[in-house]
Amino acid sequence: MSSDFFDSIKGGAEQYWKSFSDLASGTFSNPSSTASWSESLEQMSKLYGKSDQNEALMDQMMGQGKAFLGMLENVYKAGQGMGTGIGAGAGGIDFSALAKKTLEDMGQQNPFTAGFGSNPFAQSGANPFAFMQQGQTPAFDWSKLTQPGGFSTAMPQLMDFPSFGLNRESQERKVEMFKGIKAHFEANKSYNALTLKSMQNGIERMQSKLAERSEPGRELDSMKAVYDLWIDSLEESFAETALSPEFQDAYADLVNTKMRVQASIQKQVALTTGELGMPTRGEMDSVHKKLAEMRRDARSGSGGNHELDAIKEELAALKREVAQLKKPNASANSGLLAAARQSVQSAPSKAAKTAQKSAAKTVNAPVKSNSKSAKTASKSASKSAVKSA
Amino acid sequence: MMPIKISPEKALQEAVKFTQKLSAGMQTLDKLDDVHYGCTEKEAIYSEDKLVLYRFKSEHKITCKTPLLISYALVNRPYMVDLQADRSIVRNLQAMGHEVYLIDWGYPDRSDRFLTLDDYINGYIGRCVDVVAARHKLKAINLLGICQGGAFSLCYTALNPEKIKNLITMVTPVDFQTPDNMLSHWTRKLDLDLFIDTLGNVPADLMNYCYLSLKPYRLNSQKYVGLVDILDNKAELENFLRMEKWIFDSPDQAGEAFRQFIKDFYQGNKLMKNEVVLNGRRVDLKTIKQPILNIFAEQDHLVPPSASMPLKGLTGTKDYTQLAFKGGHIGIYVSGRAQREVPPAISKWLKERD
Repeated sequence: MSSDFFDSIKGGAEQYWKSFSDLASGTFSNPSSTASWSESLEQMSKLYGKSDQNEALMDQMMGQGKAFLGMLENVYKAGQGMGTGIGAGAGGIDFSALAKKTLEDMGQQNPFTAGFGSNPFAQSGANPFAFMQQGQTPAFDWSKLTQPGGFSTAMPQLMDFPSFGLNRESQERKVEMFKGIKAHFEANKSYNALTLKSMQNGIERMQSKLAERSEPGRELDSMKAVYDLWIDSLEESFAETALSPEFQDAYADLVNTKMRVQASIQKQVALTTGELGMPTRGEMDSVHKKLAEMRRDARSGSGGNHELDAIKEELAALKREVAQLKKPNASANSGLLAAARQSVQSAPSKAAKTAQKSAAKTVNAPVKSNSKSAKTASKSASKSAVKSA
Repeated sequence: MMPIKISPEKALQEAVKFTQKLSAGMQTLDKLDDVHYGCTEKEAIYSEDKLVLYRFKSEHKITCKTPLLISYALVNRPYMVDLQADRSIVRNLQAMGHEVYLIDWGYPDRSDRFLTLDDYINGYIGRCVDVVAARHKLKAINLLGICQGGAFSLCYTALNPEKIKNLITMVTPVDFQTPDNMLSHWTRKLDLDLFIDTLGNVPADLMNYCYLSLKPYRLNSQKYVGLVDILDNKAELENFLRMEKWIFDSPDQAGEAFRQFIKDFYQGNKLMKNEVVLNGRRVDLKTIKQPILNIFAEQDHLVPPSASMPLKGLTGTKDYTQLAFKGGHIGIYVSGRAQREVPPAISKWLKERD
């Protein structure tokens, strides 16, 4: 290659870094004339720091900014004939090649969903449940799953043996957990395969959109316009995949297998904490359930409740009746009560019982139409008779 | 020939410009104050458990004699209706003479895991309706249900028709199984019993991730690349951060209520079949004879218009009005167009029926 060619590349890179450095009056340093443009964002992050309020936002913005700058740098280099394989020159940019190159630069991650900042799903790629996997299976090395051999090297041998004897139940639980993990791993693979396919379809869709713009005057002349069109294509492709029956099955498998794993881990944890004398989730749930029922019961007896109103009304009626009965000359009943009192005074043990019965019978008579009232009145009268005695 | 015509110089210029904007934005971000939300003064007039019922204090004369109670969804926080001074449905309704109340569900924790849909609908909403009605010495008040809160409002009104005078549903799903409903599509084969028995309450982050993954490229990438364009504008950046705060400020979901909501509404589509049962009482939408105003957003990706529009014809009302808003699920509360169109439409409709 000619020295002019290298000078041209070096010149462009230096121009970018010089402009970048000028932004902060020379505060930024140029690590090397061929350093990636996206590295400038690293320096920028370090210079400005992060506050609690903007940390997540900065992470997200920087992550996406790097992907975008990476695309621009690839286009720049292609234009300079650097052999990036993405075309340029008279034929224009080959988008498929640009997309492929951008993905390669990002380590084959999806550049547009990789930068989740402090989001708990940051490590998860396309798997929304991966964050739950962290730190929950201490005996299991997740990293081995991605290595050649996968499960056969990662899984404990106990999965292949029948369980028996004193530790039978314990071993069965562990086997169940590991089988669950295996199933989840498979589900995760299927889910990721679909999302990857959707991304590839998005690139093809982008090609069709570009074809519509091949007429003179309709070409895309900024990377932002290319980027926006790519996002549109990816979204359309994703929506098509996401609404497919295959995705529905894959999504359900991913979530359901994950829940099975988590449930079996929780079972193990509950057994262990139980042995240590600590309260378990199940016990706490039991208390919370009872608490919810009590709150429900308590509230159903307040605030515009018709049943409570009826009870209050009934109680008021009973009080009126009892008051009526207590009046000295209200009715013949009062005489009977007085007689009962007298007999109780003369022979406490026997008389008390007689007076109780007599009073109860008498009181029952006038309020028979209302069974509940009658019972309560009967008890009240009996009690008052005994009290008097 | 490929239709991307970008010279190396153009690419370099664009990269430099992008970096310049980002750098300027960093300085703006550095100087930003804490972002506040909620602009209208309010007072708590009733509370129980984590719930608080608020009355918004108004500087305007109340001309509409029937107060309006807003029942928001359990997901996300209700301050979306009063986000900031120039983006507040509440403030606009007040200016038009309405007394506005709002239910804040709070943040459920594990002690709330066994709250059921009946606890939320006939319990919490019911008692809030009673409190507002008692304050105004009225037998019935106006109810505005938003999103999931709209589905709850339909259930409540069907079971307690004497307590609601006019019903407004906003971005409310009724048919939960339309072909374009991605959320519904994803939930259809989930084992909800296993899900809730394992998780207890549904974590907020899981809910957020699910919403983001409905449009993963737009919401995780494009939004933040586009943000660079407004980074040098402090006011716009604050608006953006306020929205971000709202989007990710989500409560966990009480397990039993979530289980029932997904099984009955999403998986069983029972609301439109009149098969939802709350504490032994069947929700029959035909019993709703009140005037209904149903507002939906034409570009709503969470509750597509096709999910809201079937309400027409499912209830027993003879006074049904439908309003299609040109915007999305979030824009219907906070966009400039929303402020110009939605509160005036609600106010006019309510005043004609006051």
